[in-house]
This record gives sequence, C-alpha cells and structure tokens, in this order.
Amino acid sequence: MISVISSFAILAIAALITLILKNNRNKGILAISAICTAAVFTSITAVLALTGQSFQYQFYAGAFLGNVRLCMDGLSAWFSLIISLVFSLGAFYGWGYMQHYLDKKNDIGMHIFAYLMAYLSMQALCVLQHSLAFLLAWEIMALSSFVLIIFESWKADVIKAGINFFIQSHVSVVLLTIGFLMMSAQSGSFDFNSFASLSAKQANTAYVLLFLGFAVKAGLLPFHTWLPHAHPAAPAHISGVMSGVIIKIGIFGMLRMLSFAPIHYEGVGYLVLTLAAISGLYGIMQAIVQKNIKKLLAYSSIENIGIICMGIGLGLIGVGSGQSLLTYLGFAAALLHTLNHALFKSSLFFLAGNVYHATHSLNMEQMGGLGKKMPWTCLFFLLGSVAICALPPMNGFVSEFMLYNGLFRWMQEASLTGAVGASFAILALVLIGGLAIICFTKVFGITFLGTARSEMHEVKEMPKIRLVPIAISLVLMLCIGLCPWLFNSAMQAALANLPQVDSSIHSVGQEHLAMLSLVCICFLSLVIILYLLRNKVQSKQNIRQSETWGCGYTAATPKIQYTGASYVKTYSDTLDGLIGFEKQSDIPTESYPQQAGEVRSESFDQLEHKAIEKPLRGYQWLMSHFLFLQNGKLQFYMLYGIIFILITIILTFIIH
Amino acid sequence: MLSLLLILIAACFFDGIIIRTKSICAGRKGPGILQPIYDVWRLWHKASVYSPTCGWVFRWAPIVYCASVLAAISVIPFGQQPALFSFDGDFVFFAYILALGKLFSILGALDTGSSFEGMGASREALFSMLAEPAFFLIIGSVALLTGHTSFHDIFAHLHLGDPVSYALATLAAFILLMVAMIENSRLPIDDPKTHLELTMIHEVMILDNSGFDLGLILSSGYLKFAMYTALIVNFFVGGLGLEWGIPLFFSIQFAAAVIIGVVESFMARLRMNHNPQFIFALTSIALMVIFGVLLLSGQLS
Repeated sequence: MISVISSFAILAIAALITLILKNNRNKGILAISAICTAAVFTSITAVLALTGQSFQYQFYAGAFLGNVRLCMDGLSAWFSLIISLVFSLGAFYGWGYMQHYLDKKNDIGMHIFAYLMAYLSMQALCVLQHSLAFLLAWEIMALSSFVLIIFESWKADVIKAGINFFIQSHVSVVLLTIGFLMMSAQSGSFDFNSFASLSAKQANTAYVLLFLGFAVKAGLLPFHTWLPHAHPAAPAHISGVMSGVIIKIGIFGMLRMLSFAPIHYEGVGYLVLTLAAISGLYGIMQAIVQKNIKKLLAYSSIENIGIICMGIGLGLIGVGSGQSLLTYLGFAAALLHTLNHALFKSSLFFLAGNVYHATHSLNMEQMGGLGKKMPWTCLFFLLGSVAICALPPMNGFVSEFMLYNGLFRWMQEASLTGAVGASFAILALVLIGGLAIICFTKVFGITFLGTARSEMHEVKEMPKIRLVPIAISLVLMLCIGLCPWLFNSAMQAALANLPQVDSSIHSVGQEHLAMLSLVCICFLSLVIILYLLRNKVQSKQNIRQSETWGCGYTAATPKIQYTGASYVKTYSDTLDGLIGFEKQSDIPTESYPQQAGEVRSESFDQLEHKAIEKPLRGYQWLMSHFLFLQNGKLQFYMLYGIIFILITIILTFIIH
Repeated sequence: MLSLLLILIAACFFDGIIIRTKSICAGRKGPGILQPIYDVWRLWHKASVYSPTCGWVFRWAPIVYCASVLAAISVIPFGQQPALFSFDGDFVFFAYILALGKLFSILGALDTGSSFEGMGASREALFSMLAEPAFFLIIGSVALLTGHTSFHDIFAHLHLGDPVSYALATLAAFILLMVAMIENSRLPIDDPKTHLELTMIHEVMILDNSGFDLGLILSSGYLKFAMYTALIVNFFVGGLGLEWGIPLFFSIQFAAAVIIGVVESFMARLRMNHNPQFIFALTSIALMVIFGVLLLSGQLS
C-alpha cells in the first residue's frame, strides 16, 4: 500500500511543480515521467492484489473526515490497472498531440496540472473506502476533467460543451452526496464496510440515488447527453482518456456499490438490463448517422456502456435467482468489456486525433482516401473497428462471447419471464452487433478508403509518438483476443469482490476459451496461407492496373462516390422517426437558376431534444414571468430579505 | 472433420444444381452441374486487374472473406460426428466470424471508390444485419429445447419426437434457408442474374474483383450455401447412423438447391424498400418458434 500512497505523493508534487515551471516542454516531460512512475508504483500493488492479496491502510485525516481507510482489493486493482494503462498511453500520445502548442507562448500548465489531478483522483477513487473522501476525489475528478475538456476555450462550442459537462457531472455529484449521506446516516459511519450491515429496506432510496449518480457519469440512457458534446470538444488524448476510463469510473461505482447492503437483486437486474439494452441500441443507432468522427465515437461509447451494463444486469439476475453460472458470466463479461472498451475506444479517439491534425477536419464527408497517405493510422483504425464491432479474433469478441453464453444459459434455466427476457436481450445484443458493423464500415470506409472528397493538402502520416501508444494497446487487444483464458484467470480476484461469485466455474470456462483461441489462431493462419497462395499464383501472372469500373461512364470524379450519408440512407429511411433530422434547403425555384442551391441535413438527438431541451424551454418560459422580481433596485432586494425573514419567523411560530 | 469434407463436396455441386434447375424451368438444357467449379478453376488461373484507387484493404478483403467462411464451416458438426472445433457458444463464433468476412467485403467494395459498389455495400450491410436476429433466435430455440449451447451438443441431443417439434423444425429449416438466401444475396432479396447495377446487392460489390480474388469470392458463396444447408440437415439427422445420415445429407442439399432454383425461376425480386419488412417478418417467425419451444418444454402452461 506504501507504493500506492507514494504514487499519490509523486503525482501531487509533480502537479504543484508544473504550476511553477515556466517552460512548456519541461512541464510535459515532468508530467509524463510522474505519470509513468506513479503508474508503475500503483501497478505493483494492483498486480499483487490481482493474485489474491489484499492491501489495507488507515490514517486519521482530521476532525472532518475522521479515519480514512484505503484498500486495494481485486476490483480496485482491475480498474486501477486500466486507468494507469490508459492514462500513461494518453500522456505519451498527448505529448505528440500537443507538440504544436509546446513551443508557443500560451500556457498549457493548467492542462497538464488537470491531467495529473485527474489521474490522481481516479486512482484515489479506486482505493478509497470512505464515502466523504470518495466524494471529495469525485469532485476533483469532475473539476479536472472540466478543465481538460475546455482546453481550446477560445471556441464558443467548446465552452458550451464544457459547461454542459460541468452541470451534468455536478448533478451526479449531488445525487451521490445525498445517497452517501443517507447511507452513513443510517449506518452511523462513513466507511464503506459499515454500509454492508444495512438492511435492504434502509438502503433502498440511497441505492437508487447512488445508481443514478453513477449512471450519469457512465453515460447510461437517459443521462448520456453530455458525452456527444464533450468528446468532440476535447483534444483527442482527453477524449480517449475520458471515454476510455473516466466514464468507466461510473461502472466501477456501480460495481463497488453492490458490496454495500443487499438489495432485491433480481428486480434491479431486470431494470439494469432493460436500461442497458436500450442504451446500447440507442447509442449505436445515433452513432450511425453522425458525420463528425468523434461524435460518432462518443455515441458508440454509450453503446458500449450499454453492453457492459447488460453484463452487470445479467450478473445481478444470477445473484437474485441463485444461478451461479449467470452471475459469473455476467460480471466477467462486464469487467472484461470494461478493459476492452478502454483499450479500443481510447485508440480510436487517438486515431481520430491523427486524422484531425492531418486534415484539420472531423467531418468524414469531406474525407476519403486517407488510407494511402496515412497507412499506419488506417491499419490501426481498421483493427480498432474490428475490435469494437466485437468480431473475432480481436478482444471485443471475447467479452461479448461471454455475455452471449450467459444469456443463452439464462434462457435455458430460467422461468418463463427469464426465457422471454433472455430472448429480447439476445435480440438487442445481436442488433447492436449488426448496427456496429454498419457504423464502423461507414466511418472507416468513408474516411480512409476511396478517393478524397474535397481538396486535401499535405496530408501525411503522423510521427511515431502518435502511433506507438496505439500500437501498444492494439497488441494488448490481440493478446486478449487470442489468449482469453489468461485474462479470465486474471479477473478472478476482481470477481471475488462482487456478490456471490462462485470462482470454481472459472475452470469450466477456461476449456471453452482455449478452444476459441485455437479456432481464432487457425483462422489467422488460414488468412496467411491464402495470402501466400495468392502471391504464388499471381507471381507468374501479368497483374495490370485499370480504372475502377464505372459501368461505362469514364469521367468519374471523386464526387461520384458514395458519401457517408448515402451509405446509411436505407438505414435511416428504415428507422425514420426514431432518429431526428433537421433539414434546411435553399433550392432556387426559377427555371434558369443563377446561383447554386444548397441542401443541409443534420441529425439531432431526439431524446436530448424531447427530454432535456423542451422541458428546459418550458421552465425558462415559466420563469420569465417572474422576471419583474429581478429589477435591479436595491430597495426591492432588501424588501425580499425582510419578507423572507418574516415568513421564516412566522412559520416557526406556526409549526411549534 | 467429416462435416467439413461433406460440405466441401456438396459445395462443388450446389450452384450447378441451382443453375440446372433454373435452365430446366426455363425450358433450356443448361450447362453441366460442375460448370461453376470449372469457372472458379479458370478464374484462379486468370490474372487480376486492380484499380489504382484500391489499396491493401481491397486486396485483403477476398482472402479474409474466404477464410471466414472456412472458419465458420469448421464449427459445424454432422449429427453425432463432432465438428473440427466445438465449444460452448460456438454458434456465436460462427455468426461473428461470418460478420467479419462481411465487414471486409463491404470495405473492399468501398475501397474502389465507385458509387455502385458503395450502393451495394450499403444494402449488404443493412440486410445482413437485419437477418442476424432470426438466426440467433432459431439457434436459441434449439438450445432451449436441448439444454446445450454448442452446435455439436445441441444437434447430438436433438431428437425430434412429436409432430409439433417436426413442425417447428420445418419452420426453423425454412428460416435458415431464407437466411442463407439473404446471406448469399439471392432471390427474393437480390437477383444474381440482374444486369442493372442499380438493383444489385452482392454482385455490384464485387464488380472490380477479378482473377484469383473473384474465384475466391465465388467459391466462398458456394461454400456458404452448402454450410447453411448442412445446418438444416443437422436438424433432421439427429441419431441416424452414418449409413443413413450421409445419403440424407446429400438429398437435403439437393432438395435445397432445387428449391432455390425453382423459387428463382418463378419469383420476382422484392422492391428494395420492401426488403427490411420481409426480413423483419423472418425474425418474427423465429420468435414464434421460440414460443413454440416454450410451449413444448411446458414453461408456458
């Protein structure tokens, strides 16, 4: 535990020094070395914790907090390792991403400071077992991520997205504060251990509040609206880290919460599963119609959070109905998909950052043919897309495979409600998988393949520092895909911290996972054999080049290519009504138009529009009637004060 | 291993039988049964032409596509005979590895920069996505019936008893055949013999493939047909011994090919915007099968 605490100290000291240093480059080097050292230090403890040891440390933190307990158990270790990994990769990538700003006069010290603080607070969240200290760390995380998002604060929409994030993350803070206070009022202590002694009845309301608070952070429907605004606004390394780990801390909270008082597991499980399935479907349905690459990835994060929560829901149903296999498969799928998503989503955001710096745009409709100019970025993006579509032999498949197995088991062993529930959950998961393929063939195909749809000047591959971190996470992803049993064993300690997980099941699953990796390896070797075979056949042949077949039309221009919008036209027609489109057309009406016309269509989030913007507008309308109260005259304000005090006094008299 | 061999043999004849059936229905004599295989053989020896627009994705696409179909076949058992690979949830692997092949064929089409191929890719992505739930529900229903979750265990334990279960198996066979037609882009979703690029799906995606690559794609298509039919065979082969099983295998393969040929001779392609409804209807039939199984297993009483 000493190593974890010393890593906190290193990060805090480094953060303070970055505020003093003058040179941007020195700050960056300091921050990267601090993060790496801290990551190594915490990982030592975390890896030991994953082997089954548990580390505790307690200290007195003043009269307000009292005794604060730190504990690195399996669950903390699993998340702590994910956070360390993504934050260190993000730091290296960020170093490359920020090159442009490093030598400029404007100060990026605040950004680096916030990055260090975000890392520090998230590591603290993993190990803190004291609710007030937890809230404190949560608030530091929310504030530092706000600072990270508004890096390009001179842009209006960045500030707008930042404030949106700021408000929503504080809604989460409020919910969590009330929830934790209710818990500790009932149990008489702030320590998480004391919550375990509560009865289900005492903890019910607090549970709901905590769940909602964590759901806002995780971006579960209908609290997802901050994600699609915040991700495009933030710099790429921040989006990667945010989607990779910051939203996962919401998942961590949900899992941690399960070890508190017992709840009505089965009912909650059904609720979480339903919400998660809707989240997943809605997220990917919205993702498909996006034009902005980062916005598309943000919606896909909502989808993946949905898949993770489906695992949690399944696990809870298993706990409730006493089916240990479901519990195991559900929670294992959730934990593994958390790692998987952290890896591939952060890589994809980093790659989107590469595309942004090469083309100065995030609108995929203007791109095309980047694959030839940025071969590595293109290859990595393809592998990332295969992983995120949960296709073998990459890692995403393994966690979905576990989830599918759990769902099919549930279908067989359950009652009628279980069988119906499982059928619909499977339907949802299958549709999510299919839609993800449409979504990622679109973003990859339109951005990297074909020819450029607009003038692209001097597009070239990014330097190595912006490719190597991605390559590292791709290697890890392939490892998970090809050796899933290794990671299944590594998860055991983390699973042991979740309610009623029977670790003896793990050995049964290993055999199937080993078979899966064998068939994946066979598939890869088959690909290579076919490739060599074709090379051998073609080496004797006369391979020619000729223009793409244009069905007789020989003057094809890049404009004739299918665009992203036309690629998903059939899809958006089929789902007309579920996805909102705002269309503006300015088509000349005269017979011989002198000027070119213009048609624009922009998709918008129906749910955000109906559930947030409309009620807000109604509220504003209601409040506008009371504007006369705020008339700027001091006498009136004093009068209000007197009236308020009088009412308070009178009420006190009446009540007594 | 046996199933792999049987599927490979059946694939050699499958398309030939379809073509022959269609010729006979149209009153022509038609080419020999092995003509498609000759074509593939000839294509493998022909040189390829690549467009300068295409990058490495286009060149890898047919290879990954073909390998994915072969990998999918490797998990299909034959009655009591185990598959090459068998593990819990192998049907999930089956569906997802096929999806990987599809992903690559879509990307290969988009790599050419042709508007026609983009059009085909868009349709292929949507329609095959819509067909997937029906497949999963059918497998889910037999998994529910037998209490196992791998192809081999399911089919080894599937003994159809009463008439209701035969009816369900027939419905399931119908759905699988339809899924096979959609996956292979045949009627009523897509007409492989159409000569208008605007109305094609699969054919238009492979316009720019030639030589060895085209041969791979065509042979993967034949393999896919035989593979899906092998799944259908598994519904009925159950506890039969090899001496009855193998003839049954080939007769069902033959019957499926003849049915496809007859359907293609006498039916017109659906209008493109009616396709989603058609495929959704399949999913709802699959849901019906699930509820039928629930009835059978006594959970609905």
